[in-house]
Amino acid sequence: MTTPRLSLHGCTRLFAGGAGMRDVDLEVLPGEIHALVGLNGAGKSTLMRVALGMLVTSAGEVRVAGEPLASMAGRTWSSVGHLIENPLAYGGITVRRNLEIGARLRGVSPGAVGPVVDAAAERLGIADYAKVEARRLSLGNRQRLGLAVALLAEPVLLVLDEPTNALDPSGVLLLREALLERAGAGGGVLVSSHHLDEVARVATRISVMNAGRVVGSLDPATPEIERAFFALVLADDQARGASGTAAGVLR
Amino acid sequence: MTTGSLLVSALWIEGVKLRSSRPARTILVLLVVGVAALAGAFSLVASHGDPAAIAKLGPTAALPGWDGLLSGATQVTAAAAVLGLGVLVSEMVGREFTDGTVTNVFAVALGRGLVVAAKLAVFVAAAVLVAVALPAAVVGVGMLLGFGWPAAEQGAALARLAGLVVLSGLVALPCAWAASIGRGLLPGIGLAVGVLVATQVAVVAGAGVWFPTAAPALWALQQGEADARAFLGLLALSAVAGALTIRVWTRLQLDR
Repeated sequence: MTTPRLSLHGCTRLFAGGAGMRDVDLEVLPGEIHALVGLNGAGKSTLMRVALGMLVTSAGEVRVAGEPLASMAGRTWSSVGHLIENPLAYGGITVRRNLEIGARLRGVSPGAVGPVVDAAAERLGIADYAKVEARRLSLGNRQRLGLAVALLAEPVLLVLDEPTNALDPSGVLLLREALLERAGAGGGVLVSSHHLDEVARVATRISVMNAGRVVGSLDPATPEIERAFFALVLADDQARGASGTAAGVLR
Repeated sequence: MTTGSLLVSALWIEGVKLRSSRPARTILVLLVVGVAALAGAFSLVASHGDPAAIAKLGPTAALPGWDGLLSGATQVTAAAAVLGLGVLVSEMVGREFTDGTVTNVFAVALGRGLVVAAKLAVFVAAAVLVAVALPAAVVGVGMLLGFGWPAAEQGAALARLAGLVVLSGLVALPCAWAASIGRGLLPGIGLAVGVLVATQVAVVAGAGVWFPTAAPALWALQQGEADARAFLGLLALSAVAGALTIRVWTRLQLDR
């Protein structure tokens, strides 16, 4: 049986007021781009933070490459790339130095940092900005820098929260190619997005989150995928007796 | 990678961050150039013999030549080093939270404990750098004022000035813990101001060289015999603060 790149079983993490995620099961298999979609506050970011150890669960277990997160060796993290909220972009530091910091954080040996950084900068089209301080970059190029850091050293698990934020169309294309390339090489990708059309282009599997739970999945080939998404969310809202925005959208 | 090479990487990363941080560079320059210039200005004022100014400076800072300059530099450093280094370590630790870059030290091979330990080590190295540069700057100011090359007696005062800076770094170290718990610069800076005020109040209330946070300044100004217990207490305080800071980072969750 193939070991998932990432697995969550029965994971719960709630915040004061009831937001968070409840009893979530999710897997990212090798070669898979697993997309998470949901409305604002559905629990996508919480799930990703839990997957990366930024939040501890009150119940359930997270495994990365088969290793339980709680007892994971540091070296396992060297094969994980991520971008959650803020890109690794220290303002007073050049793009190249920021990439070098990212590589060293991932445990890339000093001798190997140069080629690894060059490859990542080329891949996201920011090589021309190598000597520019991150504070002088546009929002889109800061996002590209963060994505380049996440893609350093060919990670086997990639976790990206809203990676298309602030990207221009060429940036979106570069990202799409990078994700497909990672999955093609046997890596697993977990990506959240509000852009259902974009997700449908690259995802192998789409999971829908609502009110902190995974409430269903969508076939990426589904015609009118937005309508199918809202129908799933509405069905869940109705089953819970909750009033949400999905009903208004489908009306 | 071995633990040793991961540590080297962590130190390299924090060194790069410190060098590229404008606030950090400004603090370091102010601690060296600013303090030396202020002490030089005190000397100039005292040399003009204005009784009101001399009364404000105090009897030792108003002394002519090297003695007055070094006394003035030590007095200014006693307050400025705790505050300046407190702000510096708060910047190094707290900035990760205010800029949101802290997410990038999760899920990495280096580990957050190692990252923050490297921050503390680089901070101590920066304090040592100031301890070397400040006495050199004061010597420069003294020579500019025409005091000539300092004698052996002044050499001892310069060494105490250097020691005061390093010890002030230890006094300021708990600010790293406050910046970590409070997740930002301001809690750390607040603690630096609090320590400064509490120390002043304690000294005015009669606490002597035995009071850990007052001991470095009183020793450097030669106001009483040095008390080894106070320095051991200071060492223990900074060690506990460092350990607690590493513990906070190791157990950190992004839950607020």
